[in-house]
Amino acid sequence: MELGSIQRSAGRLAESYVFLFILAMIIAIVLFRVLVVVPSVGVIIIDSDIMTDKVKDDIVDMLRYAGEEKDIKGVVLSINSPGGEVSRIEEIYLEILKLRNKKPVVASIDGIGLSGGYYISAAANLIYAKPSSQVGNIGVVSVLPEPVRIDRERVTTGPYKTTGRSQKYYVGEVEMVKEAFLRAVISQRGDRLKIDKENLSKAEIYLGIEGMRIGLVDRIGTRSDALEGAADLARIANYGIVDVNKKMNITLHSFPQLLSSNESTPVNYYRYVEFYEGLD
Amino acid sequence: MRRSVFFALVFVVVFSAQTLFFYRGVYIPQAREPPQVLDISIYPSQFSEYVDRHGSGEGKVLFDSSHRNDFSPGELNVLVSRILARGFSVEYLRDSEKLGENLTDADAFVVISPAREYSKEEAEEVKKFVDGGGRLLLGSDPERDSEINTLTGGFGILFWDDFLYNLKYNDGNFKYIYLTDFADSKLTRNLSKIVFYSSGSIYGNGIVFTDNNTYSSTKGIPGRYSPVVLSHDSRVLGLGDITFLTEPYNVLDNNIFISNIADFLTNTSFLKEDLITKVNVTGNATESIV
Repeated sequence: MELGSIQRSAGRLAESYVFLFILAMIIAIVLFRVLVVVPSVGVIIIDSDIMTDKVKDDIVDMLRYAGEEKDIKGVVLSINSPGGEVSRIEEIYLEILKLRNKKPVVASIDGIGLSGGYYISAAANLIYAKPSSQVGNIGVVSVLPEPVRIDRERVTTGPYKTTGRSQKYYVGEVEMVKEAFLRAVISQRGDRLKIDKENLSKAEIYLGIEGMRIGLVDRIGTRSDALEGAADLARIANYGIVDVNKKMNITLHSFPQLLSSNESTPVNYYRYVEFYEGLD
Repeated sequence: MRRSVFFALVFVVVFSAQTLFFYRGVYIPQAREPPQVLDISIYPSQFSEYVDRHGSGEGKVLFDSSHRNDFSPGELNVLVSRILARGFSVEYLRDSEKLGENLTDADAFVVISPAREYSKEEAEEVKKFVDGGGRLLLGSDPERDSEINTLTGGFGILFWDDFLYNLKYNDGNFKYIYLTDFADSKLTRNLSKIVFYSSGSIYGNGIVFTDNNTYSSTKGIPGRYSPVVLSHDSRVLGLGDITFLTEPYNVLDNNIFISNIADFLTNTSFLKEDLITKVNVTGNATESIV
């Protein structure tokens, strides 16, 4: 074979391998984008009390969105909340537990994660707080129902129709709600907790550094540290960040409501009352 | 054949490189179940039938109502009914200027949470009454306005500005404390377990004590505190809780304690031939048996 012919063959071969290389790369990149998404960490900002259904529904919607979006591989809850009404807090807590069965959830307590604000944080895989963030205040606050009375103007079919329970038993009921709160925290924190149930039930507020010492907090850090933490748990790198509030056009707004003795129906709150009183 | 292998190789390498660039593994959920809550049941102690075994006599128990005392007469119905069962009358002092006058024919004086201070002269009148053989009951709790210490100094008693709580063993709330430690006294006769609902500790000769799991809010440490004291001459009784006197909080041995307090105020005690007043579950006297 002539040398020129060999060179031409080699050139064609090389050209065809370069072509194949480029083609394989393009297909690999395109298919990667189609089959495997570029991962991101979703950030949900909860910077409000959780007193209304609107706030609760907004938070639950964001959690569900983060759970369903394929590119969101981990979730950071950026929490700055004094808590809220019991059943709404419990709903969010249970939604977070469901979410973390699919994706890691990391709580970052920015300012305060008190009472119900801590309750929802406890559902996360990890809790970050700043050294001077405020955490804890685990307990319930409520208003006693009116004493049982009968009324000439109103017909009722049972002695507790208007009050629900006697004052004495209502106190026991509130205690049961507190017990459920304690169990929610203890069940999620597990061995990390370095404080016994009795002391936890004092409802004290701890600084982030103290919270870490007693196991209410896992790591001291900021929201960006929490993002790293969520990415580590999700086993991803070079991730993007999805602002879920912005994506869903949700800004949490709730207006402080003070516990009022005029409330006709007693309601239990997982919330830090002084926070509201300070706003007066 | 070689070309297809080359193509596949490049594809796998590029695809894998991208994957490794973004993914370092797979998230393995740590299964965390919601806590078990169905077994949570916290019910406070309930009233059970009680038989008030008491003596009888006659006399008058005077209740102070002239110092903006922070209680409603209804709260003391159980105690008052026990006093009445012992044959004594009950009167309320409405005008503090008539304190001395009203004390002259009283056998006992009851002062519950006076929101207005006792003057020095008034305190001296009460001291004179006790020195003359009268019985004095001083009661207050941390949830009521009280200037009771303006009256207590002369008797070696001081109500601390605290509240007692027990996070470990309680009757459904941290401030509903059980009391099982009693000094030997007529007032603690037949008591094994009482419950106080909102009590403070009292300085003095303690006759009822908390367990070592009970905290004082001001001291912040658990210890053996006394919410009931009796002066050394056994004429002045200090109570750090009022609620236990009230229905439906007269549970466990609270009823016995209330009867003992009624005995103290009326200076009577149960003898075999005396009256037995049966008390049904509503706390009302239903029948008397000779």
